Amino acid sequence: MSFLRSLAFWLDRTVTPPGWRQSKRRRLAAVAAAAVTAITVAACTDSASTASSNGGSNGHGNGSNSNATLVMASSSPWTSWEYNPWTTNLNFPGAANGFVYLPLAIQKWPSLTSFTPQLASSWSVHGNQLQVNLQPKANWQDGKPVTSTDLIDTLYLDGLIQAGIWDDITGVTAKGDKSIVLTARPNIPMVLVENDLFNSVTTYPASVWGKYVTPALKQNVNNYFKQAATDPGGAAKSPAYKAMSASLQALTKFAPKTLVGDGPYKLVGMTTQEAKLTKWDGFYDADHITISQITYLGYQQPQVNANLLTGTADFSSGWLYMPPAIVSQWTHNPNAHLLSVPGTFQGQIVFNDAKAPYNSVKVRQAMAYAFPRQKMDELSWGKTKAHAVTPTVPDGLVDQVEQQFLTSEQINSLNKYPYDTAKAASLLESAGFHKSGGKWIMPNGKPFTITLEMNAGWTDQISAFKVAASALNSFGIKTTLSTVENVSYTADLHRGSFQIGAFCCTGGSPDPLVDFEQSPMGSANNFTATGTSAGQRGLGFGPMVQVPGLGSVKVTEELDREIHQVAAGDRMKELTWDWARLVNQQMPYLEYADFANQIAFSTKNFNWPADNSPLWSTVSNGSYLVVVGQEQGQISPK
Amino acid sequence: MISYVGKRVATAVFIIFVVVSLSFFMVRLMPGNVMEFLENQLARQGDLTTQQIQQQVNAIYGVLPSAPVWRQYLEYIGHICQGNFGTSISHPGQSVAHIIANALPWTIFSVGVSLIVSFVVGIAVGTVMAAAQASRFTKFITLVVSFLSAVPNYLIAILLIYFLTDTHRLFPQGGAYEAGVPIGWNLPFLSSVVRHSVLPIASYAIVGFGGWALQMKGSAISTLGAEYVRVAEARGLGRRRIMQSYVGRNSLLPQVTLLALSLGFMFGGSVFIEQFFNYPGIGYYLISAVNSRDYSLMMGCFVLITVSVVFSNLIVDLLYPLIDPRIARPSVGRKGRPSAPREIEEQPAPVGGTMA
Amino acid sequence: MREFFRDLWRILWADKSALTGAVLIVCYVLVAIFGPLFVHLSSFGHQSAAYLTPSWHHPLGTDSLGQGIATELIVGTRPIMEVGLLAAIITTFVGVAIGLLTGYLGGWVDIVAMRIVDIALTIPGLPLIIVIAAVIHSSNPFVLAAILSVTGWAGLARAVRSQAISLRTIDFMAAARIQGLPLRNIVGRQLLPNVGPYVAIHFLLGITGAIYAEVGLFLLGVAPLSGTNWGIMINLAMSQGALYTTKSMLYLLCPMAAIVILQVAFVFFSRALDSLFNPRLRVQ
Repeated sequence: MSFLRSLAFWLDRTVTPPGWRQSKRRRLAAVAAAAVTAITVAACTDSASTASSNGGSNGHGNGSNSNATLVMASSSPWTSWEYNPWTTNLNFPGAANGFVYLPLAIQKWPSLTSFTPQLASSWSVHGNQLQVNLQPKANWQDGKPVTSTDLIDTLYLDGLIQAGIWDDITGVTAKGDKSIVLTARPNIPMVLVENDLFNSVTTYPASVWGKYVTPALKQNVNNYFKQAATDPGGAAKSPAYKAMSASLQALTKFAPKTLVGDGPYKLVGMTTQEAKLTKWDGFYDADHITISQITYLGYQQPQVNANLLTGTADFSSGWLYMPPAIVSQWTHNPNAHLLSVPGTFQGQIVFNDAKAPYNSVKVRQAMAYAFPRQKMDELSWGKTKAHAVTPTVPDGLVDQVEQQFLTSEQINSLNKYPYDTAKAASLLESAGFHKSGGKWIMPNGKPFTITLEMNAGWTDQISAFKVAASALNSFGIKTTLSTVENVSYTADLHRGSFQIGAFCCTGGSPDPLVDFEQSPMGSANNFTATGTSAGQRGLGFGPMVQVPGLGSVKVTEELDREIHQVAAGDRMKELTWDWARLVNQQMPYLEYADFANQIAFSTKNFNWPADNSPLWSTVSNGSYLVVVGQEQGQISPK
Repeated sequence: MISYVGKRVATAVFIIFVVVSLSFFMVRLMPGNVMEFLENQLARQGDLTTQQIQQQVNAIYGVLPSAPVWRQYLEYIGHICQGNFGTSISHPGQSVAHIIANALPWTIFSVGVSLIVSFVVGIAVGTVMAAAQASRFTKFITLVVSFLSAVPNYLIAILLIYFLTDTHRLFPQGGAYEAGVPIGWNLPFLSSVVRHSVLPIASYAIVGFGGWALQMKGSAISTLGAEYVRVAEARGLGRRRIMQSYVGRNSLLPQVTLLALSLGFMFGGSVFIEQFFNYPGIGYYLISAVNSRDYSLMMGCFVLITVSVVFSNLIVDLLYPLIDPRIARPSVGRKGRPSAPREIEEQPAPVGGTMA
Repeated sequence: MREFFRDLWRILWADKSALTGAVLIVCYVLVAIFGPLFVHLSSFGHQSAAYLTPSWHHPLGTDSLGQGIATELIVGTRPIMEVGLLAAIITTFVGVAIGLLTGYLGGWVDIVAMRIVDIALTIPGLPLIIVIAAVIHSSNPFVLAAILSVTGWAGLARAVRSQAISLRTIDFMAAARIQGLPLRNIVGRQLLPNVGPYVAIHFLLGITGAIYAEVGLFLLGVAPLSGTNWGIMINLAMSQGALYTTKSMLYLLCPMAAIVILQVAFVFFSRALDSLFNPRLRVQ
């Protein structure tokens, strides 16, 4: 607006050049005409788009058996995508997994040892060898059969990005066209080999990627991992590693134009908003695949809910977050179903264990009593079919895992830390705090104030922390909530520049030791020794800690060691009990929310398994669920 | 004349150089890096142990820049001079130039069309308002137009998303085109593009045209008050004749200049709207680069936006002498001291207030 | 000065929309100053209190956590207005200071300063603000205002400078110089009153621009969501899915309306100032 004035000045200085006068009328007319055209064009596009979108939704609504489109919403928006799985797998389309590329086998959650066969039709263990047999009828979408070469090439390329499977094996060989044999390293339980192979390795076609797998590359990978088993530091400096880096650089430069998969669906196209998949008739089990098209929507969270509520999407799974109000609206819909499958991840409140006053166990325990965890969870996530619930005992394990590995006596003997301001007050007093004028004063005479830090991207947890801040304020501690943008937040946690923060989202593995290793006290977040944050204090718990049952150990190294050596069994149960007691007593971090996978589906156009079907809880990935559900005849169009 | 042009071009190059340097150092000072971002994301996937995550990240980013900052800077400047913006960090293997080249058309298309639409509609409405200042219609429209020009465009976007994509599914929720449509000059693709662009364009235009209309009205009224118009009135020329010949022409000119200037700002202004509509333009990639700490992509977007602003300013500067010869030959000018012609417009972009 | 206010009042009286704008701004300012004295955010109750319909106790209903929306709106007024005002003060002060000095002094000061202005005008403001805000992540209103002003001053500086230059050559300035009046006197007594109109309007629009960018930062989640303000309310409402249930529409629409009404009020009021300072707009 201020340039109205400036324009006046400008006009002041502008004289009317004589030659322009004649054409003025024409020019004004042209301006007017242009305006009219613009409006007409806008109107035309308007009506055109209305018509075509109506057409689209009709097609969806009247979908017959032969032409059904499943619209699946996911809360993982992609900013861009690539068809190269070895770049950063974050850019690799999520819709590809399970739909376009078959997994070898799917873990039956929460079991650590049983799997549903997919591309691997069967497998067997002979001593320290694991033989995996590929589905005999499996073909690639370019017509070639899936062979052992495909899997072996994939394994070697995975070696370039340090896939976990290579920490478990010494080598891999083909046994005929359709079988491979993996040889485990000494002392590695075979279950771990199965876990790492089936959970993390997806087979890609050698016709596309085989050209990168040279004999030299294989040699380098073998040499590197052989040396890394005993001398990781030296291996990282070895010529083999340098050669592997060079190979990876070359590999990531390759950008295929499309995906050549072996799964039941072909990728038709993909944008920043959606991916479209269509049934591939060459799939070995194509007879069971009854859904002919899948639209996979990637969105920010609120849009997923919108798509479900408006009937645009039929199904959503995986990191769905339905706020309580949306849950109640969704469940009023006659076709709508909502499941809350427990045990995906946990949310933790982390204390800066190295910084006063949180370096005092008593203060941390007082905080555990002062955080109204039940109320935080109920207000943010609701009570019915919630995305997160309060754990029974804050011991670093979600209830489901806890019950598998601890006895009920053990669980009951742990402290549940109910919301109890009286206990919190007496703990604070015993730590030298006192209350004056309704406010808590620290032993050094300064008022006790807290800044709760929260990742700005974790929108649902912000509500929970708002509730916490309000409760702490009324308890007499001046508390402010501050959210920090995602990457800066992580950097803050690593640097140890926080007081009390939130930590998410790990601790959902059915393997309790992995849960502890990934927790805030694990090596990634606590006295980190390797990686990008090497040398940073992070949580600052330890480094030497008296762990019940284990004595004085270096927490991070001990946990790193155990996850590689201990498979499901009695020893795992003993260790779980030790770590659970540590977390519960020392309170390095406070587990406050057990997340559940909210699965929403509508029976308007599709048949789904019954709400109590084990399929929902055993298959944790939405795409896998749609494929396995069809194979078992439990999911089909109406 | 030549010295005028030379001066302008030299200034433009200088500004680009300074901005490139500034953004290089600013971006390098940001805490956090792409590796931390990737570690986060991998941890969220759940299957990997901490060590595996770190090993993977190291393998992928083993060659993250480790040279001293000044050497990185010199290399960067050198590369930019050759048109090489480096490789995107979050998309290994893809060059920044490639990503930007893919994003650019979408921003140019959506913002360009909205700019033209809001300009044309705004000028038309503004002229009508100035011509019939006293009418009730004008008062009402003035009210509406000032109201719209004060509404932030992202709030309009939120409302459009709600009413036109969710409640009534008239338009797609986001993206630039439908997945699976063959990309090229064919009708299904083009209509899909148009359909997807309607809401983003509307979000810009609904708030944008008001600004143009008000400026046009203001400028036309100012002209009405000018002496030569008074003289024309005194000469007894008809009202219609005066509006068209004297007022229209003179008040339209500065608007055209402003249009050229706001073209340069189109990339910067697209940040919010492209974010809300998942529209894969420059603003969208800039935010995604900031979120993932993809330095090279971030700087590529910055440099591009800067260059576009400088370039359109330069064009305006070079065209000015054609319109007003006094500028290139200061001795003819009134005040003796040459001053940049743009000094009179301190507010080139009407959309989004002073901060955009 | 009295004449100025009499003029202003006359114009406001004639232009009812500008008058409305002025009244609204006064209301907002009063709410920002005195609102927090009268209402307090309650601590959180039970889930049954979420999304209540408007009642005597909660005139605009409640939000997803059972907090009164009207209360939140009132409490959230001050942070928004504060930052908007501070940012406008910073941009105006810096812009006027640089503009006047360079315009008056000329020479190499002018050349250097104008190159800096060129750069500040060229750097894409909003993306720059987003990047800086993400890095600094401070919820201190002064810091946030400073971030928002990072490029906003340049336009004003240039406008003021060109005014200063044109005024410098006008007779009374020449006279003042001939009389040997000190620099302070010339700038303060002669220049400042003449560029006053510019500055006043730029100041008002600076507030609206700062609020636009500030709320945008909160919407993107780039600025820390600390405390309660309208931008944070919209952000939380969006992430709580308030857009999609009819019960929660007030939670989303109220802060949006609060922002829009304030922005419109400023624009309407600034129009009155515009016609006050620009007599040509008063031909009718």
